Amino acid sequence: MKCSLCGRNAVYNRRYTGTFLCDRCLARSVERKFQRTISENKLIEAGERIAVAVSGGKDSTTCMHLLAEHCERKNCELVAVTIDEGISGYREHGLRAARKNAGLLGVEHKVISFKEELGATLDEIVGLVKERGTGFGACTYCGVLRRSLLNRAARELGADKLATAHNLDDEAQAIMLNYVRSDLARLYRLGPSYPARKGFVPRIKPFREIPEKEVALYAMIKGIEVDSSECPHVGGIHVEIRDFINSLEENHPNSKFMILRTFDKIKANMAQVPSEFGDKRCGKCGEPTAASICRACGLLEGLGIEIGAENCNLGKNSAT
Amino acid sequence: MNVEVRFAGEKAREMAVDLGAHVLDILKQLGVGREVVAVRLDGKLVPEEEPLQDGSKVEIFRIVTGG
Repeated sequence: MKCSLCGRNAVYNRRYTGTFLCDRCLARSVERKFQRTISENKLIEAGERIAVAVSGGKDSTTCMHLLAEHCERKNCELVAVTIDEGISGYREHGLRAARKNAGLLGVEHKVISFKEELGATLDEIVGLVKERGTGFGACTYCGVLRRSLLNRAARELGADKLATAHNLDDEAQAIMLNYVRSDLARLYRLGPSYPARKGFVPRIKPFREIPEKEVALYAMIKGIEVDSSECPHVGGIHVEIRDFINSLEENHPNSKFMILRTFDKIKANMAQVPSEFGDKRCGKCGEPTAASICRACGLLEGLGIEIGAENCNLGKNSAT
Repeated sequence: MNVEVRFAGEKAREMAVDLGAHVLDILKQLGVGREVVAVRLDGKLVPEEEPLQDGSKVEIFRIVTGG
């Protein structure tokens, strides 16, 4: 098969546009989409300090590489943050890849661990969840606690923005998940950036318009060393929605983009959805929250992990 | 014709395919969707429409691993 643009050997069939692309044309296109998402949505201003969440997987590692180039051109500073959830046989591989890539790029790298900050690894939390039958899956604990620690780390590192490597697939899945759960507040938060709110470092998603497969191919083409291991705790409705959307895309190319585009149009008419966060602060850790205690502290409390005890540092260093 | 297939780091195995088959036919036999894999044919990244030859070496990488 030949590239529809230049006639070299193709590496990819971009079915949603009906074009075959070679390695060079695909890489150029991915880079252009990344730049366009940043400029059209004004995600990064010159001179800003950007924190990027890096797990060591293909998306976040590739995002760090592209951000490092972008930041150099725009005179921005980049700092990488990795959350070590404490997942035995899994996270250590990602951590190694994150460290190696940050080192290669000369990017400052900070590692924050569940064990040190919360007093328990995710593996230990999952054990407690099974014992107590809380009804929440591992991904709920991991996602909520990771987001809380990432926000705090970005704030303490003086970052103006926190970049995450959510790609088109992630965004389409999040839209679907919130439809299924009828969670309008969370649905409304989705977008290329999360608006600035007191206590939150604004989050940006420069990969929002890039399909997961294109990110993976880009990493392979560029020889970026990433961790490809699978989290042992993965499962639940997220996986069902992911598989459903992938099957939809397979039979009806462009479905992922249509989910995103339609949501963006709907969102423009959703302005009256109130933010779930006001100026409230968590009574336990001081992080922003909609209730008297934040979701992270609520989940930990439900497991009998003592908030504010010696071993729990969540929010101890939070300022403002 | 026969091709050698290595799927997601597993041990390579021989698979029989029809003359004129494409990479996509291998994915169908394995029950794997094209959205979740990248494929190298004889060491080079290829689209799933790439035709196979007798003795081709097919490496299939799972690109979607997270939750």
